[in-house]
Amino acid sequence: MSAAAHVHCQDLVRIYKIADLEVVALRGLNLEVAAGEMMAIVGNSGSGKSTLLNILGGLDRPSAGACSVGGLDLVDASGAELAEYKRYEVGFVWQQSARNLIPYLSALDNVLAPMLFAGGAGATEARRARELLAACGLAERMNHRPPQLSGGEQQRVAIAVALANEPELLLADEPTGEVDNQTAGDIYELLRRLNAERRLTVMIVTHDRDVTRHVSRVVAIRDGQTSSEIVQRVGLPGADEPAHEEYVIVDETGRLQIPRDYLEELGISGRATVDVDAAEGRLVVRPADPSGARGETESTP
Amino acid sequence: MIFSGVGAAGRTVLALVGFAARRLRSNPIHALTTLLGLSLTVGVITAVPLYAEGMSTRLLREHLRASPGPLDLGVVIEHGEAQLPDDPPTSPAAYRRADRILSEAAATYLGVPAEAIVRLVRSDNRHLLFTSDDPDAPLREGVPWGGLAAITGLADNVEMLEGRAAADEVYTLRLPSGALAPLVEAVAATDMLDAAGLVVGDQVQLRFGDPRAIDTPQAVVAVDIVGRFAPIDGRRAYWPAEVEELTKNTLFTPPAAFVDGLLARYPEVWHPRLLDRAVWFAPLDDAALQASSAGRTNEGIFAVRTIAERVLPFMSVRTRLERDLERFESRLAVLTVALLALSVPIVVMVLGFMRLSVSLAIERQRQEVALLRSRGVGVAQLVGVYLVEGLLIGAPALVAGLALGLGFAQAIGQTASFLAFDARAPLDITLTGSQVAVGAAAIGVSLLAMLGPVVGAARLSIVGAKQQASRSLDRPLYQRRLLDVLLLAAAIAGLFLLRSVDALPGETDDDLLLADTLLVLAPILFIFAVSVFALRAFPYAVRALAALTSRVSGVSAFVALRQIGRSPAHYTSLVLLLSLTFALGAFSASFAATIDRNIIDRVYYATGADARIFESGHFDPDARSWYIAPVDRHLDVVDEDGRQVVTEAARHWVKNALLHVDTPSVNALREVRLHAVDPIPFARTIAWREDYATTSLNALANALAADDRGVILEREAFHETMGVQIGDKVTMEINRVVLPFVVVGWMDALPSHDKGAGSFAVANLTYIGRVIGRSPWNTLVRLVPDAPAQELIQPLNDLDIRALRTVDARSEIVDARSDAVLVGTFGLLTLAFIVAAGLTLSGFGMHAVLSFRRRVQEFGILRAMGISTRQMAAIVALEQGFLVLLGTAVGTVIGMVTAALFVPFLELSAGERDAFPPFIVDTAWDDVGKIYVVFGVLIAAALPLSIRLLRRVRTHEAIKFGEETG
Repeated sequence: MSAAAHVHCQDLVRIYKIADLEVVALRGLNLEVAAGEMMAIVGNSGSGKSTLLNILGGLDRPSAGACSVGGLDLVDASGAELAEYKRYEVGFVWQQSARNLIPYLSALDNVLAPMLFAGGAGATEARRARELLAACGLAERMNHRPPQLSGGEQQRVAIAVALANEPELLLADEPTGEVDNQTAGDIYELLRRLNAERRLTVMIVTHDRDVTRHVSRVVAIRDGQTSSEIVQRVGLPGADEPAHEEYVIVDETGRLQIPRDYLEELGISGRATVDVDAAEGRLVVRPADPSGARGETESTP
Repeated sequence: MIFSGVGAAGRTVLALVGFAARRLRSNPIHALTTLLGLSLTVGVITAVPLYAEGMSTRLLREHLRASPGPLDLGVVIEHGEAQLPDDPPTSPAAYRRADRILSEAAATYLGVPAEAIVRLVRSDNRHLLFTSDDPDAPLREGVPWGGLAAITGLADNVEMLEGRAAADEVYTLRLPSGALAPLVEAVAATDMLDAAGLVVGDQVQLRFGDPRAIDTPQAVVAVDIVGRFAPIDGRRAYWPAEVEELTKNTLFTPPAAFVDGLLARYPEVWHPRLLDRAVWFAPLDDAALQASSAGRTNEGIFAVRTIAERVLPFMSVRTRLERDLERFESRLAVLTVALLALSVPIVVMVLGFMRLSVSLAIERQRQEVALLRSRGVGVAQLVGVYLVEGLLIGAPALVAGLALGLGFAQAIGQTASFLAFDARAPLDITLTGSQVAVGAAAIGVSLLAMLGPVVGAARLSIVGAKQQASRSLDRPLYQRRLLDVLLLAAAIAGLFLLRSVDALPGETDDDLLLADTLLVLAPILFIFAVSVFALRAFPYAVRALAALTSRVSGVSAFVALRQIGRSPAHYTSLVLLLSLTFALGAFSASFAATIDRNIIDRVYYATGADARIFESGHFDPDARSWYIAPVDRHLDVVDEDGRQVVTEAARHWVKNALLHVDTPSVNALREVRLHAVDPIPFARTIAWREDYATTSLNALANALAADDRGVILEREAFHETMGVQIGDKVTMEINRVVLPFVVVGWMDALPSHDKGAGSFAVANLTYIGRVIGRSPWNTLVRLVPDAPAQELIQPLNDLDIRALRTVDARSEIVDARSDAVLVGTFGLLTLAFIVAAGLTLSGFGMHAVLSFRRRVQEFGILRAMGISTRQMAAIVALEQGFLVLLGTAVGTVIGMVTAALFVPFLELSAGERDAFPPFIVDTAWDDVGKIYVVFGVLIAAALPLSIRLLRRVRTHEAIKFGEETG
């Protein structure tokens, strides 16, 4: 675990039991997120990304492995510690507006509700709630109830609610899932601004591959494990816009995931041969049966 | 904004209250149902003690009025009479000490201020010699006896007829002997003066002490009679004894003259007999006397008594009130406990309803609860929010509930039978602090009961809530833990226990009263147990029906049944509520019908007809015979409007006789009670029940009329035991005359015949009268409705019929129906049914609307598929209709089965055990039918309302905003 890591997951396993069926949602996932980083987790449905976010949000507990946020061990934390953690350390934004907001409270009262349950309901809290809503671009809509707000506005209120008790980590599960592209862009922009201004660690779970443009790092999850990472490179020579580089992840035991597209393209399945080119510092993975091979994939340490 | 304010903790509390208030405003149905439920709970719980107290107070006052006497309402503390000659308690110092202690004790323990205590001091009786008389001379003949007394407050309670009130002063008088004697003024009752031959202006002397005893000085008190009076009202609580007794032989001087003058300042005249008796009388206001305060009053009396007996030797305390209060206190306690036990089912239903309401509300708010939990809100905080909500509703509910309780208590007091009311005088009920406390406690318990679903929901975060929603529906906890099976086992065990005993244990009236009530509770427990157990079959029944109707065309029916079949757990509470309502209704109706019928049967059996008139005739000593007016003359009685009052009249002459059976198989003598009648009028008049004989009454009357010497005998005694047959000849010795008879029929029971008086025989009165002579008879009459039998006496006498008194079956039935326990039992059963019906209707309305809102997305999809609003309403109506049908059918069956199983045991209870005729169980199909009709009408009335509410749900908005917000 690196010293600056705010979020640390190692060999994280989560198994659900539904009726007599066991579903492995996370199978030894490893992830580190630095404090103040804004990153995204992408993956197909069922890849385990929401499960990961739920664990990080203190809403679910891992079956095995290690997971800590800001030094709190989420595996062994007591119920009271988790409640405290949820109240002060982490904010959560869900995809559906209805899940984020209490429908009969105004936007302002929605933001104030978490503060109330954290023991504050005074003028200071009210001022902070107004500031938060203003920061989210809702200065004019504070006294509207959720049904009177658009989807984008509801999501921005949800972000303000999530930040009500000034957490250090903001988790957003498909925050742009129900809004149009323009609004989605606005929401990402808001998150990025909050990340910059408040040194907020932001983790976004999304299907939206376009998220790459808004975050510094995108981790792809496949079958309950991290499969690849796309890292934004700023200031590369000759590039006006930030460039992105994609990496596969090699875990501590040396396992790596090769993106499915490559495997299909190269016809690699089951067994493969690996050539080690020490001189060039390369690993070359080939299909086990040369007759069926149409290419090779390469990994450079 | 709701969270602004000042002060730290106060702000948070205010904010919580504001939050809770917002929540309530956003869930008006939940708020209203909770308010209704809490109010009903408080109403029911407080109605029982209020009714019990009101009824006990009425009984207590009736009892006190029925046995009048000044001691009834007072505490009399009196010197003993056997402490002479050296009796220190009657010394002036002892009197003052006693007065001080008793005054304090009465004020402290009875709340009677010292000045309100009536104090009476009196000497014993002495010869009232004139002061001019020589005491040593032989006594004149007819010298009156009398005593000197002083009583506080006399002036306010007497009217001066002559002279004036006595002065407080003590004067000195020189007697003819030259000795000085204290002189006081006195007044006396006019009766006393007249009886003693004294007049106002006379001066008398009372001499205390034995003139022959050297060591006892002669003490003389002279009395100047200055006025005569008459008591204003001898029945006032002021008088510590019968007023005639008190004023007889008594000269009343003011207390200042007696106590402060004679006793305090003239030690030389003190003699134990001068202060022979001292009475402290604390009058209690009977109008303010409540059964609930009887305990406190009694404790007060006990405390005063203890103090008097311990601190003041030789004193005694007398009061009948203490004994009466003790009896009523214990009766009140038993009545309250017994009726509270009966009210348990209502409370359980109300709590169940509130839980249903909370569950529905929570189900709707599950998302919100999960959201708050996911934001770090603790379970305790959430429970706190709901508690605050509960308290916000609880305060008005307490007020409304107490008002309801007063109304319910009065309604119970007006109950004649199940769902039937009588106009009776309202009970004198006052709300006490303890009843308010009971109401508040009921709210507290209800709120705790409501928190179950809250805690359940609060334990889930968003992830947990989603997982639970997707999980297959488990059976409810009570089914998984077999609690329903245990409850059923307990109820069945109770049934077998009842079957195995032939009498309930109980020595005292109170025990039996409690036993009676528990007997009613047993079937109600059975109803609950079977209804809850029957829910196990509900999912299977729904699935079976859904499978059956799956082929039926029609989207509404298909969707409705699929919905119920898919999630039967959502509907179990409703079906339970409905089946409980109908089971309770069906059972109560049958129970009430049975009890009522048997009250009527037993009163009519004892009376014999609508009324029995005890009559005499004119005896002619010369002719040695009676003149008795013909019985038909009874039919001539008319009321003020000229309407005939007596429609049938029959002579009934009862005599002991010795019946001799002499058949080839039996030769036996048997004492019987002979009922001599005119067969045809008798048959037309008496209150007959089919099971009194195996042949019809008309056939028996005809057989008796056909043969002058015919006799009808008691079947068991003569036919079954002795083998006597129809046609057998028997003889009866009546008034030492032996008459021959022929057996013409059998009866098992004869109205008016007391079973305890042995066997009976019925024969022709004309035949017997012809042989042994006429003598007065009683007349049994059949009356037009609402004609009181007592009012017949005068008109009958006017018709030359010497009517002495009457027994009126119908007024006795009214009295029997007024029994405190019976009224309370029927009142509570009626209340239970009405409350259950109300709750069921509310439950259905609430469920219809909330279920529609919960499934609004589903309906949205259906609507998108082309289903109209009307069809959607039809889906909900069909769902409700199916549930109503199922609940009604199950409830009715359970209620009827319970009635059939349990009602026969009600005969075991106190007064019923040895009563005759035998108990007949009535199944009140007509009443059950009425319940169906009433319920049908209510549901029909509620349906348009539900549909209107459904139409107000804005489907498109609800769908847009979210899946479960509605």
